[in-house]
Amino acid sequence: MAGVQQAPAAARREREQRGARLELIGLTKVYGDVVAADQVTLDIAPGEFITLLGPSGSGKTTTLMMVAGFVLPTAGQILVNGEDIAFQPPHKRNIGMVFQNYALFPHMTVAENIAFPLKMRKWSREQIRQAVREVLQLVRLPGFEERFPRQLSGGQQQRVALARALVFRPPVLLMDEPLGALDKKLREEMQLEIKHIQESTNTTTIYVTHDQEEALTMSDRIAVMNGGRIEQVGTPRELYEQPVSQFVADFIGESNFLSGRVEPGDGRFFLVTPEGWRVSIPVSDSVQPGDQVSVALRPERIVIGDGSGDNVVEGTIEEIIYVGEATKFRVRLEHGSWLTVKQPSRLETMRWRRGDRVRLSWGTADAVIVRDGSGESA
Amino acid sequence: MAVTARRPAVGAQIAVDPRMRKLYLRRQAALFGLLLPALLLLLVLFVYPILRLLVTSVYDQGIISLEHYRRIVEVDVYLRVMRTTFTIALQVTAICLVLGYPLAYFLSTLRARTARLLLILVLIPFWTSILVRTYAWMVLLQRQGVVNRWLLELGLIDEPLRMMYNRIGVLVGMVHVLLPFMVLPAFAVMRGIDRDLIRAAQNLGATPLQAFLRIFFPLSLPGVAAGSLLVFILALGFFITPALMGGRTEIMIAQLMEDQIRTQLNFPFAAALGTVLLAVTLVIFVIYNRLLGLDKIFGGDVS
Repeated sequence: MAGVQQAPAAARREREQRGARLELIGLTKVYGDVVAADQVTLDIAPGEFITLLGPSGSGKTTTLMMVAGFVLPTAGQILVNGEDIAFQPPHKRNIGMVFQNYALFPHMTVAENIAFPLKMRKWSREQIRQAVREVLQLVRLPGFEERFPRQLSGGQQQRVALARALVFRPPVLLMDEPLGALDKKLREEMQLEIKHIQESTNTTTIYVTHDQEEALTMSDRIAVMNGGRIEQVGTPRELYEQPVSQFVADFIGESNFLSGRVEPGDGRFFLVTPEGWRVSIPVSDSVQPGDQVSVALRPERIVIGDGSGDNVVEGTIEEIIYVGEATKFRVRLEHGSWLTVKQPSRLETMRWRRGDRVRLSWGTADAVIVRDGSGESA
Repeated sequence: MAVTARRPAVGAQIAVDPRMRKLYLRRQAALFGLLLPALLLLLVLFVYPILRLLVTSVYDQGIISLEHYRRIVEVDVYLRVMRTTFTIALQVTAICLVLGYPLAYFLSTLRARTARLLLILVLIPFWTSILVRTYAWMVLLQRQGVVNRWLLELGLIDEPLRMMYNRIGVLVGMVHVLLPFMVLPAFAVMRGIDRDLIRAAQNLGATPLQAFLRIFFPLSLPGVAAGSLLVFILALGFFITPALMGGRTEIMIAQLMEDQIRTQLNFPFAAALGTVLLAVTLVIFVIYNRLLGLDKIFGGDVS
């Protein structure tokens, strides 16, 4: 926008400033006999946007609070550019944070809110004025200096909170479900905007959310957390295409799961379900014939009505769920199990009716071998 | 857009169904009925006596006059009592503030259940009669009282301290009675302060002390102001404690009024004194309302 172009010097300065490398090593928090965070280890590159994704109680917020300094770790290290900050009080850490409900100071104007960290750092009045103006342009709220937080909409408060967290140019930025209170449309808009601002300031960012779509949209990498542990770390695409566990395959997107024993056959592997259904699965070093395994199969990878593919089954459509851009079909197979199929809502997919007998097919590579359950067996 | 634009404005052409109107009026009447008993009670027992008080205070021997008010302003002893009353009320408020703020702060940091439990402890004095409490203090503070004996036996003092029939006694007794009125509103407001604000301040580089001074303290002020207002106004009208525990220099306005009625039988003058007290109280309320809003007194929201 015009606002950003008006301050090329500021933009350049922001870009030159490098985010810090942030390493979490064996970070653990135990409350009584509950392990809230269990040896969380992450190596975050300078300028990287990493999301901690998981259901409530998975330890993502605890981990974030340990980095911010509000929760003291039971064990582990937090290294910022190699220096352990785990024992520093919050006010000495120089880490920006956007809180869930923004935590804007209600008795201060927007400008005073944003100036707060600069005052604490004893910047001069002129420097502060300049920095506040620049950062308000960065978050596209120029001219809002004298408003009070209660006079702003949710989205505007969000921008002020972001501005306040970035104005002192912290090498690390933490965000705790910052978009939870906004409606869907605004949330999607803010996702992209936060991402752009994060990129332009090159700030190493840890973002906490339970919204998988948000995580996929914004992140360079995602760490999926469950029961205090990191289940899997990877790019959005890796996580979606190659989930290592049922939990990840289920939490990010939707999956059909098939379990059974591995049997070899003409140079390929098959998974044989207890009902005796044979499904071809990819050959992998980690799987031996005779192993008990599960595979995840994405609903949109299954083709309906077309007979070609490594695996073909027949079934009856029991339920049709129209969700706009796609249509989901719950199909009961002959031997009693179910598959969910998701197809783009095109005319030819919309002609199917409940009770229709259909053929489903998919390729061997579409089935991904995953760990059982929620990871305890690993 | 075109579809909605063609629709007539809601209510422009649609008449209210008369049956609906009747129903609505009946519901309003029912709601008003709920208010009625309290309203009547206030009119008979509160509004009427106060009006009588006002009327009485402006009569002198059957003619309308401001003689009594003139006396209050001109006679030295009455002005002195006024001054004493305000000084004691201010002192009590200040002590309640110093004792009550940390207590309210402490309570507000506890988990809701623990806080409720401890609040009951704060409230227990509320449920005991002022008279009983005042006599209890007299037992503790008199020359041969518990406190003096204890201090003597510990060897901390050589002769009993005078803690009764002077300012100390009055302040101790009044603070004890009035402290909950400071703690409750302060606690209610503090409880409503989002602790993430304090975290945010620390995250942004404020030491815990700076976070308290710049964020928590300003946000707790409405509660402090409300508590101070309640304590101050209640202290102005105190009677039993200064009467029983005060000395000759601790005579407060309520005692003066009692004396005028019981021994001097000067009802109009007592009425004038009461009117002045009422007027001062109202002025303080108005100022408070201008500055902070009365809704804050009993723990409205802080935003």
